[in-house]
Amino acid sequence: MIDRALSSLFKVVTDEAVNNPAFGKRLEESLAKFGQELAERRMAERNVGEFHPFIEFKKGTPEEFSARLGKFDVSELRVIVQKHHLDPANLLKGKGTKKTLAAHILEAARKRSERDAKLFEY
Amino acid sequence: MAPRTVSVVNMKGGVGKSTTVASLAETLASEGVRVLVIDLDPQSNVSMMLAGQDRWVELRQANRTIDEYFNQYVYGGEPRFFREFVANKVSDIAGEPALDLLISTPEFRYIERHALEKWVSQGFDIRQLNTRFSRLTHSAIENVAESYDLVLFDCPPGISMFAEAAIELSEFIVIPTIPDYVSRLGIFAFRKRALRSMEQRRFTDDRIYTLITKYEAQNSLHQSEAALLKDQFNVFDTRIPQAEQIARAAEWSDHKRTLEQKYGDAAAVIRKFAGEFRERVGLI
Repeated sequence: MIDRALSSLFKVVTDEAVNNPAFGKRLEESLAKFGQELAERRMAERNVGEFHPFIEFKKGTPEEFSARLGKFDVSELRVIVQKHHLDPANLLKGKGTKKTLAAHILEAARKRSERDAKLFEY
Repeated sequence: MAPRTVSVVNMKGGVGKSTTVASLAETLASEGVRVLVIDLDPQSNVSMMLAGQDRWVELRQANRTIDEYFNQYVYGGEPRFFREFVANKVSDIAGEPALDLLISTPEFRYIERHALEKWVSQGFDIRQLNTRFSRLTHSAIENVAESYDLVLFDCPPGISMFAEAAIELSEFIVIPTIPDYVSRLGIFAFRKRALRSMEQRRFTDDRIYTLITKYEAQNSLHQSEAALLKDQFNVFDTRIPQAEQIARAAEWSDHKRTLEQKYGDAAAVIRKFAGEFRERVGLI
């Protein structure tokens, strides 16, 4: 059922894109923009890889951790924040500079490290 | 040779303890390991999963339950050997795997209360009661030691005196956990208790394992928490996925089936976990 509904929908869109050049151009631009953003996002995710802020924080001093964060660009830092749920109150609103993002991650990792240490004492 | 004794336990409910016990027991038994499952949870989930409802009712009517085993020590009466309470050849897996079970019933929750009332009124303190439960459980296992390679305790959520006894008796502890924040807190809450028991017997914490359950590979929270668990605890490499077929497998089949028919695509993961478990507890 859903396959027929989708085929029908795509045919309508395809026909309109062919017969209406203005619509076709807007559609093309929209898809290109989406593709570009998606490619950037995937690239950032690949670059972040297995980097886990809470684990990495414990491996050295806060300064060393900051230095490691400094190697990531803004989109990669955003991926770290999102992937590890470091902004539950959405204070950053999905934005932030490289400096503010790195500071936010450092603070979250520091707090988490302190809390987990207490749990191990529990 | 004495069987390996393993408690599957987590203070938190709903993390897959009974499912872990049932699937692990069935897999190992189908590989030729002689397994005894002891259900310590009054919810009786693993009893129902492994014996099926009809046989569970029969066993209950025949007074072959864990509550009846402990009842004889609380209320007295003609003593029966532990092995008389055990149901042989349970499971709906084809090939009659060497899997035995001591079922639990909802009444089991009252035994601890009655025992406490009676023995405390006789002047025993909690520590002595703990010791008594441990000894009873220990002598039960000794009674059947020659018949099994592995004894698996399915412990209830929270900590009961029976769960304490099982932990004190176990050489290994498996803590199933969902990789999320509250489940991880459950490990912290329990770990210290388990650690103390291990240290008293001169074991180290490398005998306390965490098993990640209900894992969703595309869920970034699960990815993040699983990595953290691996960093903080002694975690099995195998992760049990969130899978409809695993949940469906809990329901008894009147017709024998293969492990693959029962657990679907998850059977391969369950076999992998069983292999890793055997390696870690020395059941090769």
